[in-house]
Amino acid sequence: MAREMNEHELISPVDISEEPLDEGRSLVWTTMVIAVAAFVLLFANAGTLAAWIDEKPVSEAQQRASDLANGWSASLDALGVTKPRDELHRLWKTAQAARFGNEAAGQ
Amino acid sequence: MLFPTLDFGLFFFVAFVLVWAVSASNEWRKILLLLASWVFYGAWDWRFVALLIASAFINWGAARLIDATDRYSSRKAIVTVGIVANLGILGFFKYYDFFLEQLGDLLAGWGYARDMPILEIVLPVGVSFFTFQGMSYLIDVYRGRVRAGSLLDITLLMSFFPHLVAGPIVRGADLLPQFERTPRLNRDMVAMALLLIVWGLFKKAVIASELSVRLVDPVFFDPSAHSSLDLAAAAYGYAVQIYCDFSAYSDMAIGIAALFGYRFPRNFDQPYRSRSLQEFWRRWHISLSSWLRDYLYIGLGGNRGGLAMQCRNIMLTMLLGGFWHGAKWTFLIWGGLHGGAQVIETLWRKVKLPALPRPLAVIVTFHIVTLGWIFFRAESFDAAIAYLGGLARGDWRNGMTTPLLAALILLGMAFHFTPPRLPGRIALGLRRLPAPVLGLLVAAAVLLVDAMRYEGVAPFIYYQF
Repeated sequence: MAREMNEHELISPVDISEEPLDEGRSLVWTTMVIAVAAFVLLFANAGTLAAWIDEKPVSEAQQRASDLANGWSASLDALGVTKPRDELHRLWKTAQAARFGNEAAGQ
Repeated sequence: MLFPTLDFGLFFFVAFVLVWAVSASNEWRKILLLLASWVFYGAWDWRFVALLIASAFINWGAARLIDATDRYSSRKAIVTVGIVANLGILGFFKYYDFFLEQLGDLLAGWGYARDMPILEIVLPVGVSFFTFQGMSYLIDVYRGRVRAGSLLDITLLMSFFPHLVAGPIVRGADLLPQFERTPRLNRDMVAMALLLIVWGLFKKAVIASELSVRLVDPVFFDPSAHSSLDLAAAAYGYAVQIYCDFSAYSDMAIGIAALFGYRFPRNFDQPYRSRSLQEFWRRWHISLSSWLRDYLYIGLGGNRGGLAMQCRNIMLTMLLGGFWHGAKWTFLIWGGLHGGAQVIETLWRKVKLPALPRPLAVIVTFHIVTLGWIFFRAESFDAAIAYLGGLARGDWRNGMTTPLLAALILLGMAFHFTPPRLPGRIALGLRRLPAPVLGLLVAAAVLLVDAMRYEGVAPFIYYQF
């Protein structure tokens, strides 16, 4: 059918400028951003990966993966790579424990 | 499969690589996106993937039939049958048990107590969203706003995983034209997408989760055990929690869709800076409020037919909007409160009473909204009334609020008073960065969120709708 369609304007938050920056290699640029972020997190947040594997149903493969991930996490802990994340987490826990004035926790 | 989990991260990574790898063929990319969406939805319950497919098939078939005829009466009959079919799916899964329970109570009240055939139906995740999406597509085809699409496009429209379980309600008119050709990424949309994803992660995993676990849930669980100050803090806390939770889902959904090259509409626009309830609904869950306006309020007659009809239509729209959230009296009361306040605003303007000063109007609107959230969050009407009674008790001991929780509530409110264009300006700066630098920044932001987040991730509030 050749009915006339009405115009419909889509306002999306991802349209941020009149002239989007497109250098023709935006997909490569995006893939690199995601890959670099994942790679950095694999080192700096190794404990999360180990914890995630430990939560999976127990099987032979899961056990092997868990041993590998925990070994990886321990090595990076020893090298101090995970220290920034752990220090941030410690600060957060301190903030959680703070109370107004002389109120005791759980009061 | 929840967005802020490693399971979803891996799922996304595989889907991203495969979909862009086959993007020379738009058909194959859509087929892969569809399969990925079914895997995503099947992670909750595989049985409901069949429901999703059946729902898409009904809407595709009905739209094709509408498109194939020029007779007004036939088109109207088909769209009516299609809407009834969609409402039938929604009604059966969401409201069947509720109505039978009410009928049972009514019969018992009249002395005719009966065992009702309650089925204890499991609610499919996102059923309210995908049925509304299906209905809007059918009505748009009927009204000539969008052409009837292919089976693949309609199935993908309704199943596309970023919006599938908690919106935004993306209409056919928004997404179907984008499905017609392989999308192109540009750095603007990618920079904004990454910003929205990280920002959403922070709002959900840090603010909403912390407020929920340490303040809102314990207080709403037993309001009688808490002081008036705790109840007030938890009410404000819930106002911030539901905003940070739901807007986080929308932000992440918009960001994830953008990384596949698709643009979703805005769903939140600093709602707590509104000066009226009518403005609030132009800023909160915009895809639902505009749906209700276009397909229900205007369908009922809108502001045609005089002031009384306009007030009736506002009230009916808000009551049904409340009921859309779930089969509970508290949702109806929440909708009624919003409807009643908007009727008062309409009458206020009609008799030309002076407008409140802006700061006062914002404060009054926010407190009406927060009062509504107490009914929205409470387990029952009695629990909500007990909560309000506790607030009036005047016992101002602090038992729950810590400096961190107070800071998170203030932070959640402060987001509403930042310059509206700020995220766009940040993204404009990010788009010019070299990929390794932006990758490092994204990793640092995720690491920061991970260090602060509550252990474990609770489902999004709107998953239950």
